[in-house]
Amino acid sequence: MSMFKSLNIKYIVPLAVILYALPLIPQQPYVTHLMIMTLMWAYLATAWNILGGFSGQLSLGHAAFFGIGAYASYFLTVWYGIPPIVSLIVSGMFASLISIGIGYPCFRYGLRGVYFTLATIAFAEILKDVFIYLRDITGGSLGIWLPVTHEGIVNLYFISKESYYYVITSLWLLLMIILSLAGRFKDYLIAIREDEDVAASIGINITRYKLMALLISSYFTGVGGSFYIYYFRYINPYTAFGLDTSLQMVLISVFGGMYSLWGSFIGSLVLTPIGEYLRITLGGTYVGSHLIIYGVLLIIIIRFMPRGVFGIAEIIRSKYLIRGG
Amino acid sequence: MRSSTLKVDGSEGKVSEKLIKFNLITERSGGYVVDITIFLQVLVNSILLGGMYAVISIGLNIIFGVLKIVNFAHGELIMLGMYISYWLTVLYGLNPYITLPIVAATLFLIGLVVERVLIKPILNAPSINQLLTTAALILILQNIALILWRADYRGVSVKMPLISIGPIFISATRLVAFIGGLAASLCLYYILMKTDLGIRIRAVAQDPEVAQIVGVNVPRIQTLTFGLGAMLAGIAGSLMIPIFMVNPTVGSNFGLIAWVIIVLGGLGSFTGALIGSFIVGFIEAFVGILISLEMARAVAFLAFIAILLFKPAGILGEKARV
Amino acid sequence: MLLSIQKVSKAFGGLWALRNVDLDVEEGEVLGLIGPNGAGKTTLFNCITGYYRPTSGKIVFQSVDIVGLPPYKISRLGIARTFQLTKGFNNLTVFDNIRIASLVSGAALKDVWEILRLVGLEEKKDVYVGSLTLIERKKLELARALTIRPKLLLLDEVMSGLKPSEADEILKVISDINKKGVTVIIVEHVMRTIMRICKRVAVLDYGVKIAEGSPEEVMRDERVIKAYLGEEFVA
Repeated sequence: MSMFKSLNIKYIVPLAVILYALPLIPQQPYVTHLMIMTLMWAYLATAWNILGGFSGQLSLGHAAFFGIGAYASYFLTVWYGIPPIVSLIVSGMFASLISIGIGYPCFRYGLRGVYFTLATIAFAEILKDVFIYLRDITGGSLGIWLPVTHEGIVNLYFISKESYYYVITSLWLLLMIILSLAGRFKDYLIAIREDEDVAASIGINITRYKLMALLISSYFTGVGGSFYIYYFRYINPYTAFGLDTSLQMVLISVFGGMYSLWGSFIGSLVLTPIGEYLRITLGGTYVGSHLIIYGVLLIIIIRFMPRGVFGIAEIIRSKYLIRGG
Repeated sequence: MRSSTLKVDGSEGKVSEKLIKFNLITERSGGYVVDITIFLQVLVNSILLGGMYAVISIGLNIIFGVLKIVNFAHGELIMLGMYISYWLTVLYGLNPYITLPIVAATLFLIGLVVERVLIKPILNAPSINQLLTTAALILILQNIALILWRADYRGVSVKMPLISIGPIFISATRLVAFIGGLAASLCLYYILMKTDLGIRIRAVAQDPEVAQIVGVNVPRIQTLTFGLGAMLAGIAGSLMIPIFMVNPTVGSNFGLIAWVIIVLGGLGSFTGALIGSFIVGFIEAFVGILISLEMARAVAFLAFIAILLFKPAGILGEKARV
Repeated sequence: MLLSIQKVSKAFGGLWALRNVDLDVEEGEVLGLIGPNGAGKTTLFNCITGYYRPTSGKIVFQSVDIVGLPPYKISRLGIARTFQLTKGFNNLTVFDNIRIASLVSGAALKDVWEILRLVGLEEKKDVYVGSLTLIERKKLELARALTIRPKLLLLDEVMSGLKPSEADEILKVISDINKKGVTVIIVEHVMRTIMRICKRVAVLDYGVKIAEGSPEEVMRDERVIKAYLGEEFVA
């Protein structure tokens, strides 16, 4: 709410200083990779949360926009020779464009709740199938590799992992600042989430705001997909459009607290390192063990603290504040 | 009666090797010529596929109808059924069809436990929470399977003849799956319509409060129903293990398709699910042959979105949205 | 004339919820709309506010036909409504509920305070709506409707379920709102309250308007007694 607007900025600035300073401490490349993953998932979950958390339209098909962002970047870079730094920005627009394909009919015909969720899953699955099928263009199920290129910010190709860390940190901070400033827009989305009929009764154009939320959410998700392919230099349709990718965004956001702007960051801060640690240490013997833990945590969170970890923190704080006068 | 009705583009990748193997497509100069019999063949295939889908989707539908819960993990129950059947076959040398009652009983028990531990506490929670809980269950079951049994595709081959009726070939395993699937569905129908338990289940589906008032133990019926739905998933698993390979993610396909089917047929409607199964069977078989298997899935999903948008009560249109 | 409902019908499948309803509302009045359960009162409200599209007929508000407009546009034209089963942004505080409404309508912060004072929710401004009592939720409905600065206010059973003393409290708020120049249509079950605030009453039964006039006239109307008042008054 607007009361938090100034608070957000107040927290973002020192946090930015800390985040940018972190690589100054010498560390293993593996730790830097962990930091990149944490920020990337925080960023993706924050982007998802615009639609899923604020406007309450639970998409489980956000991998569609992630995948489109990644593949669009590949095509722009490899076919058209567009500098990756430009592709990073443009690829999100393709994701937004694609999102209209599912969003407009859904919102126009008032698809709500679970039905919207099912439609989004189906949408991502369709894209996955189409990208597997069009193997001449997309490389099919084997996926695509970005060729090695000259190092530098223009090509988004770096030898040191720190540079990738700076890129994703900047993207996340930018997203947070934009969302902190979009107070009224966010308030309208929250109104729609809480009760569509009431939101309409006070004059909010529900269809328009849902669509705007989707466009913005899918744009940033697409940019996230673009970052993914420039960092990993490889993607396939299963990662790009898979339910697991969508679920991971949702999970982190819900875990941290989907009603709050900070929830996704908190969620990623806790879950991503656990996941990556387990993946690497147990990966050889127990592939997927981190996802079991994710699943168990999600069930516990939903049952016992549906407002997420950050939500609990908020409640404790507000109680403390009231008691403290 | 060999008449060419359709020309398939000459590039090799487009024609399934299976078709050539089964003499359904003959190579001629300049392209492939497709037989009219191929359509009969595909028709038969689609009907057989529909019978299998019926068990899956009716199981999911009865769970939805009685508990009003969105269960995303139904496919994972099928996956478990397939694995159990597979291991009983491999380790003890049983015929996969012999394992069916064991698998059915096991899945029934698993269903009871899942309902008690995970589903019951969230029955009155917002549907979003239910959906996320069952989505979490997907993650858990898939990855347990991955740890226990690796990502390898595993299959059981049953020595059974390829039945030929004139120019049409029927795979015996698919025929068994079809008959078994329909039989299981009809058994359930009989239970629902004719038995005391069935009346109670239908009462809870209609109105849990009224059912409670007239003395039905609603929570118990809900648990039992989930068990029954899971049991059908297990039966489907046993019937399909001689046909499809199993790996930890095989369930997500079946789970999603089951949702497509029950939305298509109308949520909570038994006949709707049956009809929906055959429609999706048709779409998959025909698009699968004409274009590719991936596109068959895509077309089914597209039809699904269209139904959600334009006819949310399903093709039979008897029930409103939830 | 502020609002003119002309031959409005609404069918659900084969069922007629409203049939050829004519109703005119004069500027500044408090019109009572009564009728037994299922008579079509809420359906009529939903048609006026755009949540339902009438099957046929015209609804003219300030000489504009508003049939087919979406709810948010009708709200912006100055028609506010409350919901029979109280609704609200449950995870937000009372203040934020009203403030969001004020953002849309452009009402100033001091208007928000004034509205909260008017309905008597000033003390509860920091309480989450999910934990309000029934009368507080009813007051919130009123406050939210007022925030859009309506010319016409549709009240759907804002007094049902309340104790008589609480109902009187709400009644006073409604008459204060009306004194500020807001036209009110009030759907109510409790005849006593309708009698006290409305100069004019219309009666719906099975989707048909069966009577219209002063409360005294309507109460003497035989059809009304049969349809609605029968059980309550004759018995």
